[in-house]
Amino acid sequence: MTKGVVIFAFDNETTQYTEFAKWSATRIDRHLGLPVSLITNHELQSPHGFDQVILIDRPAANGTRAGTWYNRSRYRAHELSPYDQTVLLDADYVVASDQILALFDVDQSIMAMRWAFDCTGRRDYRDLNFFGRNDMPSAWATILYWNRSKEADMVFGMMQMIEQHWHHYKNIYGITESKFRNDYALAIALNTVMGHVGAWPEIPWSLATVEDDVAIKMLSHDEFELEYHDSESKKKKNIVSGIDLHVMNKAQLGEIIGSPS
Amino acid sequence: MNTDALIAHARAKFDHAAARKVMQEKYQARMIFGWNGGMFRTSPELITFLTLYGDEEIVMPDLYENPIKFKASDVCNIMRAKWQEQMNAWLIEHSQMSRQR
Repeated sequence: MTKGVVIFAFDNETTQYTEFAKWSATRIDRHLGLPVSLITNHELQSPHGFDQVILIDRPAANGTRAGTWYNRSRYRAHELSPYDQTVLLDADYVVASDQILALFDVDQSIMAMRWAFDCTGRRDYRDLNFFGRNDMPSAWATILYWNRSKEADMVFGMMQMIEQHWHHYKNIYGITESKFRNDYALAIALNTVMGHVGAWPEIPWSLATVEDDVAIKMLSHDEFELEYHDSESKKKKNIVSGIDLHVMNKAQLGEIIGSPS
Repeated sequence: MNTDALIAHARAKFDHAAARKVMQEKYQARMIFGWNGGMFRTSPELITFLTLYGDEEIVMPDLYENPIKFKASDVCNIMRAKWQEQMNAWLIEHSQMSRQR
């Protein structure tokens, strides 16, 4: 059984996501020892450090947030992954531990991240861990595991249908945000395929999240300093190490990647 | 960075509550491991339970409620090692964090 990591990266006017993916591939190699394939819309100069670069057309834009988002077509990950067992990571997911390896040892067709938490403790994420009019449980598409199976095939097929009929599903689930989000599509797809019981095989830990108003600095390979303002506008800092991070501040992550380490 | 920014940076107070929360999440995650196709979370209760069975084979539901068969001592040894290793690491990190200002 082949194992590997897949990253989608489509550069926009402000962020070189393919550079994030390159940086991430070196970290994945160091911590997980797994090959990484990049799914993007343009050739990269060798040596790029990827196992494979898989070219597809850039998907249509689905909103803006510090640059245009090209996050659609995630449902194609199943078809495009060259591996029997795959972990899909967002380009802004910073691997700083070997935690992900545990996912490859389990007989589950698909596992998704259910819970996220704020590394600064300022928000409880109730509004992000549930969504829509009926408080549906969220799935974080930032990290997703699957293997070649009928179940995984059905989840990705369902994601495709949701993406193609987003307006319909948005109304059914009472989602006020107009922008298509993979997190919602994944949650709806998993919930549907698993029998509408509001539960699915979860990745049994939580996604450590660094919000986009947090200044992040790399102190050493796997140690990061976070600086932010608390609810009373007092400046606070926290140091996190040896834990994978989902970093929303793309500009700061870009600076870390661009600076010599 | 200008002088004001440098002063503000120096005055930023270490957020002990947030650091504790991140540490707790990190070490809880590190207690998780896969074995024989199942996913397990190390706990003192499970270590005690598995110790009762020694080298016997037992069946236990994993975190996904799937029954998994294994030799109790094999999994017990992994859990004991994880518990010792991660709890010690947590203690060291917690002590270092306590000194942060």
